[in-house]
Amino acid sequence: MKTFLTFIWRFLVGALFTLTPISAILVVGWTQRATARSVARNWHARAGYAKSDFPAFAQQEPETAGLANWPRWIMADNASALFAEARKSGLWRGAALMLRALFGSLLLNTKAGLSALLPIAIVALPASLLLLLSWWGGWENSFNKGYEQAWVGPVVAFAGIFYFILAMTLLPLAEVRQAVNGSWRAFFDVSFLRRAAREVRVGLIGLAVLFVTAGFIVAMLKIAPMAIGNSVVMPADLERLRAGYPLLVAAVLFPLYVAMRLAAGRVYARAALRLVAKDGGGNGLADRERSLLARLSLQAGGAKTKRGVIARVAAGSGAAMAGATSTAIVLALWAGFVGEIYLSQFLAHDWLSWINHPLVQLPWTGGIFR
Amino acid sequence: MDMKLSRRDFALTCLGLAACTARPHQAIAAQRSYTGPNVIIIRYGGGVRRRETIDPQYSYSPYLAKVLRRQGTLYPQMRLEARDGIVTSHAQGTLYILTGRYDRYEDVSGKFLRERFEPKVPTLFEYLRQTYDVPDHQTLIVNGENRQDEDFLTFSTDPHFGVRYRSSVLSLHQFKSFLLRKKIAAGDFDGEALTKAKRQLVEMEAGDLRRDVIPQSPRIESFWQDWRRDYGDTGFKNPRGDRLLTALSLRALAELKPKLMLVNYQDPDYVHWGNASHYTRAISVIDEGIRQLVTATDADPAYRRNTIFVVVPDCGRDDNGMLQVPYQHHFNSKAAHEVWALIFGPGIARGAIIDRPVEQASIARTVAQMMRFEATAAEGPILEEAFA
Repeated sequence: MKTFLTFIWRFLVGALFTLTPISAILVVGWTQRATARSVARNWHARAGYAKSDFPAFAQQEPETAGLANWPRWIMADNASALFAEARKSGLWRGAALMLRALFGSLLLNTKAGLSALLPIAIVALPASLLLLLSWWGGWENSFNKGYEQAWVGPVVAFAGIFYFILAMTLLPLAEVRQAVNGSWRAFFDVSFLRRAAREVRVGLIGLAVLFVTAGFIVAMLKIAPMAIGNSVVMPADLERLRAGYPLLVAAVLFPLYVAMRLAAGRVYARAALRLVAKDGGGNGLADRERSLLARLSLQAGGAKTKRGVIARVAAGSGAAMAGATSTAIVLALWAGFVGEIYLSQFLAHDWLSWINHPLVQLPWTGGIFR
Repeated sequence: MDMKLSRRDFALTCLGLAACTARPHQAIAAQRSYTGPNVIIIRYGGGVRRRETIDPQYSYSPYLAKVLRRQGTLYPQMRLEARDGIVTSHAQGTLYILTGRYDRYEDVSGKFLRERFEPKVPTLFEYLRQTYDVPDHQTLIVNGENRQDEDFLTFSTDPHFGVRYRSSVLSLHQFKSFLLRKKIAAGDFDGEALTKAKRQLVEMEAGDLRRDVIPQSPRIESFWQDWRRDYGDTGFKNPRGDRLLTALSLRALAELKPKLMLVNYQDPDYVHWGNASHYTRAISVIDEGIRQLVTATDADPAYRRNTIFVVVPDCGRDDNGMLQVPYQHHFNSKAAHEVWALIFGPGIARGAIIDRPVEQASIARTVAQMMRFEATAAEGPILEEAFA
């Protein structure tokens, strides 16, 4: 019962936090922490340990102690211990501990949220700006019948779309890596991410399918007010709907956003293990994940089987073909995600929606309805 | 004398005789010359709301809302009837205005995203030309380049009217057809390219391959010849967008002296893409276009004190308080059915505001009353209050 109530509470707070752009930063941070925990739990289970042992395992080291339980929104995860310690301490130390206990997670979520959003913004911003400018400039030119430079709008749009699709093939994994390691260097390690992506081609297809599905739901949430608003006649009814609709959006957006990251976490966990198994030492692993895998004894690489030339060529060609096919599928799926953005923008346009997609950047309901 | 008559000739002769027998009074009526007022219908097109057009407080069309409003009769509560299958869109609205009937229309081209409609009952042009001796170049549709399908709303499928009484069209699409025709005639193409060019020309002129190509009248050919002389072949030098429609209309007034002209403004519809300023700027462009047309008719003895303007939108736009751009679309909402009409000119009541619901389909019969012909298939009643 307590677990259920805790779940409801955390869900409600999370959903409500998506209602404003500032509180949505906390959602990003909270989800980062939840994703890091999910990856650690995944590795812990793959190392052959029982699920119930995970909290104890996590608390063995200060670095992973925060992963022992689902993160909290506002109070520190170990608030009880901090309160107990505060009672035994002097005035100033006690007050400081009380503050930490009361707002520890708020601080952590804010810090993790900002740290995660910055690299995401850096990667996604070029695409966002290209899409926004192409839409604005392209139609502005079309309106003015600027035949002489009619090519500019479409070319800029295609450049933005191409960049976005390419970026999205790695961005979800990069985001998870940032969550696990708390490091921008890990986020921007494109070489490692590409190697990791090659290990989980099917997983990346599945992840793209999830994003396209979630993107479709988001697009529907964005389009729905068109039909709703056209059927409302009384201003009072309209006001009620305008006030209530963001709550519905929040209730759908929050679980979608978290689910995407947790799914990406599973894919990343598998990719990292496969890389470790391949090259033994886990070449390119960041410090935190290396240490965690070492504690779980997951760093030992498997013995490489020796193959003949023909077998190597056959296996290599097969892998190349499978790689090309899966890459094409992933690119097509992300193109579908972009298509959803365009369709929803045509039906219910908002300039902000070019800059921020609530499943990719800031999970703010204003990116869907405001 | 040895005369050979094929079965086809025989059939056509019989059909011709039958047609003359069926409507002899109309064949005679077509000989009368027209001496009534000229009528210019401004389709305030692309779908507009009342707020940004006729409401003096919020209008982006100040000439219309503040100057012309005092000179004519305003119907601020005109609407498109909310009947099943009645669509609030551009070609449909244009046909409701031209035929005086709310009909359902379906694309006849069978092509993707096309709206190639055929009027089922006669258009105002057909009534006028059947009743009076008015040549086709004096019944004009001035059309934009984004809606080529509206170039073909010139005549109906009514067997007693139709192509014989069609209107002419002035548009960039028609100019491009003219250019291609000239290039083919000048021998600019040969072999496969010539075959392709000829096929393209048929498609451009007929709208689709099912219909016959209707040769342009010499006056229209001459009009395009002059246009080409002034603006060349590129399409880069002439005015663009709805300003082009104003330019074509002004030139038509000077050169072709139309008795009945429909100017199909359209650019407010760009707001479908979400740029709100396209809507407001396009309204301003139309407002300026109307001002120029009124000024031109005032300055021309052929039109001065003898021209009635009917300004009416093809459809309204949504008024959706749930969207960032409330008027982005016109998806059959209540607001999309809400239009207005302003009528001004000689014989029209000045400064009158008829604040009751009236139908857009009434425009046709009202124009027929102005020009003294019968719009027999139109269903809307005449807007009587407009007549002084």
